Amino acid sequence: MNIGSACTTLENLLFLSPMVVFFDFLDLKNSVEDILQVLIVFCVESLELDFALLFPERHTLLRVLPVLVVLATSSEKESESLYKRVKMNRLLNIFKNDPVIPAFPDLHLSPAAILKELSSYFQNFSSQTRLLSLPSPHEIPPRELQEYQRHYLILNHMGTIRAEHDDFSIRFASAMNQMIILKSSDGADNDWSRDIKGNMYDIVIEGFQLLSRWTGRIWEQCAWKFSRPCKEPPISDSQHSSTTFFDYEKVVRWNYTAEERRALLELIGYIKSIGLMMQRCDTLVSEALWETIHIEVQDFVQDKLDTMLRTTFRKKKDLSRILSDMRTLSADWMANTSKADPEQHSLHQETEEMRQSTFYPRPVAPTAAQIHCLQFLICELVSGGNLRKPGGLFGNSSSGIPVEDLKQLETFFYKLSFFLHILDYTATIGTLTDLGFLWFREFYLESSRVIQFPIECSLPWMLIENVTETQDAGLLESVTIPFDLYNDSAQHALTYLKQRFLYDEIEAEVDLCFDLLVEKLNEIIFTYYKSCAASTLLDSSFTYVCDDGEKYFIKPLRFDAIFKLRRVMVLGRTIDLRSLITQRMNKLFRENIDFLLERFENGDLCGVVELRQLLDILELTHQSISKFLELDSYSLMLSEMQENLSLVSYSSRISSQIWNEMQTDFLSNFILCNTTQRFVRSLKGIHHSSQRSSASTGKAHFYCGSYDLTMAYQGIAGLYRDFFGIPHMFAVVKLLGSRALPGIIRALLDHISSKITAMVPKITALQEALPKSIGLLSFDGGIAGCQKIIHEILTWEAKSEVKNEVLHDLKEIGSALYWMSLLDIVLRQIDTTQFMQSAPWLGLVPGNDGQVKHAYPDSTPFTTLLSAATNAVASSPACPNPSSFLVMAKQAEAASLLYKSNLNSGSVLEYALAFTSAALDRHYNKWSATPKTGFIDITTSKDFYRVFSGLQYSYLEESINYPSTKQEMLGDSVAWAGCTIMYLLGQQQHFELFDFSYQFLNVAEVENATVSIYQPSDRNKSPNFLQGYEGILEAMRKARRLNNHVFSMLRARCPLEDKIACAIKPSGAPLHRMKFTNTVSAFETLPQRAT
Amino acid sequence: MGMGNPVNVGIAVQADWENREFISNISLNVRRLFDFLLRFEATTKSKLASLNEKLDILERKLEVLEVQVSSATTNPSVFT
Repeated sequence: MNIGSACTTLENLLFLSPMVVFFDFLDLKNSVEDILQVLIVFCVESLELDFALLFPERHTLLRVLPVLVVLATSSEKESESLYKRVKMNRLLNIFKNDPVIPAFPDLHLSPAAILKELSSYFQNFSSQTRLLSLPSPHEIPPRELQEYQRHYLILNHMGTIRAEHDDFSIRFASAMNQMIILKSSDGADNDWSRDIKGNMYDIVIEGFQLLSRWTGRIWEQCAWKFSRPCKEPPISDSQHSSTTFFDYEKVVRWNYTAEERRALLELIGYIKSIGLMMQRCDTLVSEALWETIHIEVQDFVQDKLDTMLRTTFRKKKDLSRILSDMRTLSADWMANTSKADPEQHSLHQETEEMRQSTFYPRPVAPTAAQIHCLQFLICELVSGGNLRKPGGLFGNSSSGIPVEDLKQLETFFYKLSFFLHILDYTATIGTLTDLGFLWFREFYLESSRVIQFPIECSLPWMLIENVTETQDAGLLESVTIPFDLYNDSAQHALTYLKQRFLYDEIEAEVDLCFDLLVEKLNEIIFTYYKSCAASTLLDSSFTYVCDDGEKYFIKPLRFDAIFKLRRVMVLGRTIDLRSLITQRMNKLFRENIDFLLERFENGDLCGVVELRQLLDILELTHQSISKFLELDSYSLMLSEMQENLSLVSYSSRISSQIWNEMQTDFLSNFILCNTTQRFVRSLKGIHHSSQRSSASTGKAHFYCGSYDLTMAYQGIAGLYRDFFGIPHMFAVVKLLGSRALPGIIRALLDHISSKITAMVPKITALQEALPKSIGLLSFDGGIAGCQKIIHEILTWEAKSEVKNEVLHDLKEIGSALYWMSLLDIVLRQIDTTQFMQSAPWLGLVPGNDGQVKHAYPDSTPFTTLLSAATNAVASSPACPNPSSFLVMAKQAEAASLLYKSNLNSGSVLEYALAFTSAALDRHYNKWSATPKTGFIDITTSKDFYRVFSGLQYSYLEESINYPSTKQEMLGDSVAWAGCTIMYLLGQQQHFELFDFSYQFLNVAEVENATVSIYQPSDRNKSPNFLQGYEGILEAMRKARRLNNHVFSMLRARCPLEDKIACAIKPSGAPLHRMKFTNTVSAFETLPQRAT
Repeated sequence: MGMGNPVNVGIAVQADWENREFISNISLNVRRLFDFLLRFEATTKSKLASLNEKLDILERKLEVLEVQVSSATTNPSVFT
């Protein structure tokens, strides 16, 4: 407190010196004590009246008063006379009302402490127990504490302040409007203009008082907070629990609750906006203000004083001399004549009454010297030069001046002191809206012995952080207001304190804060719009039914005001916040795309649905932000991040990843289930993704914004994470688009072809192990006999490895083919949708035979419409330049041509089958023995179907004998590959006739029938000879059903052309070169491939 | 204390009023001029900023297009 006292004492002297000079030359015989008493009276009266005081003066008076009181009670006698003039209770009241007084930005004083501190130096004062028993801020009893708390905390006054702000801003604006109207209407009549100007003057005064009250509140709240540090900082962060806290943290960082910060920011916003509003119309109102002040002064000097001279002071020579001095010093006698017409001028010179009525004010204000002189003369007038006079300045009637005259003098006296503020309009607003003190913390820096506190302790940054953390819709727009605080403190540091190092500190902090703010702001905006997008894309009927569906709705926020901030003034720099946000937003989108792609690259192929979901959300986000900001186009950003900007590149990150996954993981580790049309990961397949780095868990805004939505979407994506099916194929098609898809298809086909080539030697090896000729299985031995024969034929024990490899190759080929068929289904569906959308525009109508017919042979409705419009526009005289319409019509023609040519896109599956067929043709000789005789050789073992048949049999047998080993590894795709190859080699019918399993089934059937005929009584029981074979028989039936399904699909999608073969006539004669066609059984009604 | 000749002071004060009217008139108008300039600067700056924004967009688009075109021209064989 020592520093504080010393400082204030210095300040006291500086502040009081003009006052002392005032009173000093009244009468030199007055002692110092008299002067001190007068000063105390002045202080007390001004504080009690609280009329013409702005907060800096009020605070100064409050700081000065305790010191004055101590000085004035230098002796018993003096103190008695002091308390005679100023009752002790008045002093106590003042001290109690303001237990803490702001002195310096980070330093407060308290009257109680000052009194106590000084009492040790002034012995006489130590007897003043009533004054000394005032409680210091930290000694205030709890009950009173509540009251002070209520008074000091802005939070408790917010309602009033808000109402005052709204009311004042409306009235100020309307007064301004009237001023503008007045300015635009020349030669307006005098009374009206005087009314408006007077109104303006009143409003300005009100504004000053409002600003002063508000800013004073902030100062006082600060002082209060400084005087009552937070007892126990919250130990939420583990890192902080061990470290000690700075004092500054206790008084600032932990001392403001979120609500208090909110209120503080709101109030700062009000102060700054009102201040700016008043500052802006500076040049507009100054004339009116000068004029009004001029009127006030002249009215008093010329009129009121005149009356007083003629009545009250007629007899008092010395006092009337003061009055006439006042008139001489400040009267502007010519003002009334300067602008009046010459005629009126001559008229009004005649009588004084007439002159008063046409008084024409001059827009010139009195000088500061004039004002001070008037104040001094009024003082002298009422005190009569006697400082020892009891009572207050205007409170006594001993001078013989009537009460109403005193009242007038008093009012004018205080008005005069306010004139100075009004005349210094800009500077006054500057002082009143200067909130830079909120930043300064030099006292605490010194006492904590550190160079600087962390940014979290800085009050302006705390306010910004409060906004970004709470994301309060009402506060977001004022998020840049705290930078005004930095501006203020920088200004203060440079112009008032003249300390470069302080400015450097502030600048460093502002740079940091601004960067942080922009980043946070971006994040908030991005997260908000992303959450909105995610919430929109969520199935609304589902969220409606959901019990806690509300958490998926995003409460609306508005960023329009922030997006409009093109010029933010920070420390004299103009910053285009909007462009910064745009810049970072572009970057954020790219980062997000990159993040999603990386995530996809770290997972397996099943993640494609999630990728598509997240990219869809991102696209919608982009759409909604693009309404406000000029962002780069989404497709460009996507292709940039996918690295396929180049016109000649037909692959992308996604496509290469998909292909990579298919090659290394999907084809080898996924097994097909034909019934569900899904691929699932085989249990034995190594899970690649588990080994990949899954550490890249990004921030929430890279997913879906809010936590709830992210969880919801992860729940949805979780459904698709363990298989690959139609939804995945849709996602693949959507993500790859027409540009990268052909690449994948081609790669897959090449893969099939290379697999076939790789399979050739293995197949040959298996063929070699088979006997040269294989006949039909005999029915004699029953199924047990059949099994024995088959076992004798299949002597592959030594080549089980080759067998397994072939099976795996077949599985991969089959998977690839099935993948193609899935792709085909999806592409068909997309094509159909597109067709349905474009058909009405292209004039396509259904014909009689189910074919598509063109309704208009030459044009389409689309082109007709646009050309008609173009003709209409071109013929209208109102449009001088129809060229753009002509272009549009031309473009319509081009578009309809393009759409027409797109209608009959081929089938991917058919192409794939044709390609496979071509690949097989190269190995035709090895896999299909051409009969030398020209007859179909039914006993040959060289044909592929024999190998496949054997593979199938042994595979089925193994799957029964060792369950849960083989089957899971292969799935249904082996059948797909085998059947396709056989079908394309033209061996389907051979297979269906001679396949071991099929024959096995036939034998079992015959045996079953025979047994049931001979043993009708046992029919209900399971025939015991079949015991042990149910499993394999069931598996064979299943395989047959599957094979039939594949064959019928193949017949439908890839009908075999007519083939030449030999046949034997019923007569026994061979018939060479006969054509046979493949009969289409189940799919007869399906459309045939166009030939 | 006195004031010298009150009449002389009165005349001086009167002259002062008139001079100051002239001065304040001029200073006010100079301030208005500056006010206008400041406001003009503000509006111009924000308009320039929006123009700049549009140019930025165009520039970036152009850059992308240039990359695309260059990718095409370096591989002329693809297009023949």
